[in-house]
Amino acid sequence: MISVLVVHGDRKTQRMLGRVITSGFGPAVLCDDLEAATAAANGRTYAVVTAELAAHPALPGLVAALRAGGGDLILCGEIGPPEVVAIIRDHAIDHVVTTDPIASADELPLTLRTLARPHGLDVLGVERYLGHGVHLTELSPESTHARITVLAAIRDGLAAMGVAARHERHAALIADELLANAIHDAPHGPDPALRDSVRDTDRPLSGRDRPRLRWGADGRMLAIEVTDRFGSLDASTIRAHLAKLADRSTRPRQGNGGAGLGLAMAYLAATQLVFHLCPGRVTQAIGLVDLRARPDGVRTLVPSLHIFTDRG
Amino acid sequence: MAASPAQSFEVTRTPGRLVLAGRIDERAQIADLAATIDEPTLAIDLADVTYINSLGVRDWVTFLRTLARQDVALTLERCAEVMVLQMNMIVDARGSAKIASFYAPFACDACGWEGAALVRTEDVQPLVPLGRAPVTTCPDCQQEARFADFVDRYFLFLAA
Repeated sequence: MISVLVVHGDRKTQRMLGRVITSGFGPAVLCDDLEAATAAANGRTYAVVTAELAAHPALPGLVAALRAGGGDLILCGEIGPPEVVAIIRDHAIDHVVTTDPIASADELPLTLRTLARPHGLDVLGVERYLGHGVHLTELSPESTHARITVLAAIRDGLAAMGVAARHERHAALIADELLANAIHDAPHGPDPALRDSVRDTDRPLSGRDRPRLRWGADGRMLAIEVTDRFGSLDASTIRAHLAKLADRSTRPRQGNGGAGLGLAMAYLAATQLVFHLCPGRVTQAIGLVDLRARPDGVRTLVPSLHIFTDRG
Repeated sequence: MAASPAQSFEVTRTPGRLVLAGRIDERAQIADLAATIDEPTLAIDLADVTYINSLGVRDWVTFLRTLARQDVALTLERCAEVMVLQMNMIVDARGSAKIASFYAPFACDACGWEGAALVRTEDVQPLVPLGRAPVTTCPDCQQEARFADFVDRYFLFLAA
């Protein structure tokens, strides 16, 4: 049995969030503060907490209570980039919904439905973020440098759709950095010493070494999915990379390997960055870019983040 | 398949001036360019930079640091949006360079046009502390086009 708590001091916001969750996922219990939510956490419980409460001293207690039962915390609301990455880092938060959860009502229920899935299933794929029937293009680089050809194909496809040039550039950056991670980092896992394979030499990719990219766009959203078959990326590594955004004085890593900035750059270029992590099996990273010029409640200072880890 | 101009990286050099165009990535080798600069002042035009990835940022930062060590007074002109994004993320991507002008995203509510327009730093700088953004004229319908990002986010690099 999974329960959902909505934590907010304002009754009107509570009710609106409660409606979004109830209609898209299931019943939600409304709580006025973090202490009440901590007391209400029972079994596998997910709590939707708004950004105003992120710095409250009772937050760590709630996070601990939720995780003890197999649940977790979902932070939502508009937060500045340095603040949000500090919260992600300090509380090991895996889910941040930065779009207005009422104006953009699909993200929160979708997150809950994904969290509620049984462990040990396949990763979900990019289809769920796009309109029904959208054509997906699948590309798989045959060599390390063929990554460039893949990026050119995406940009050509987006240009043909009439997508604004800056969205094309964001899409290319997301695809490039996620592919580079899948090609160069995933085979070696988290050990930075092993990652320093020389990147300016082209080498063929085959079998497990060859990642898969799929992308598609409807009128509202562009989605890029990169999947590798190593499953070596973990949530703490992702959070550590994103934490670099808390401090603009971060310096690129030197050497022949990656600069250590790719995940952070992909995150900033996206509207939403989603990871499905199946340790030892699969890592799937999905970058979403909202294609609308100024959608109400969607353009925010910092992208949403979701890290789903399969523990099966 | 031959690389199109947008897929390659090109440097055009005249006395006191560089024009960079195309992709700045691991193939551009931009860090090596600094050793060839022997002028006390340099202007770099970045309008036609179409792309920069994390490896390109690393080389770009190395390039700027080398110029700073050589005491080259650097001015960046017509910075493309992709460069602004990096300067907003990392202080070192601007370094000690002066920014003369840069591109910013705009959108027209009347006709739906979206694109980038060139703005001068000296025009934008006074607006930022007030939370205001410049406006431009839509090239399609000549109506006013509004800035299409957040003032706090897009102009962050001007504070460095």
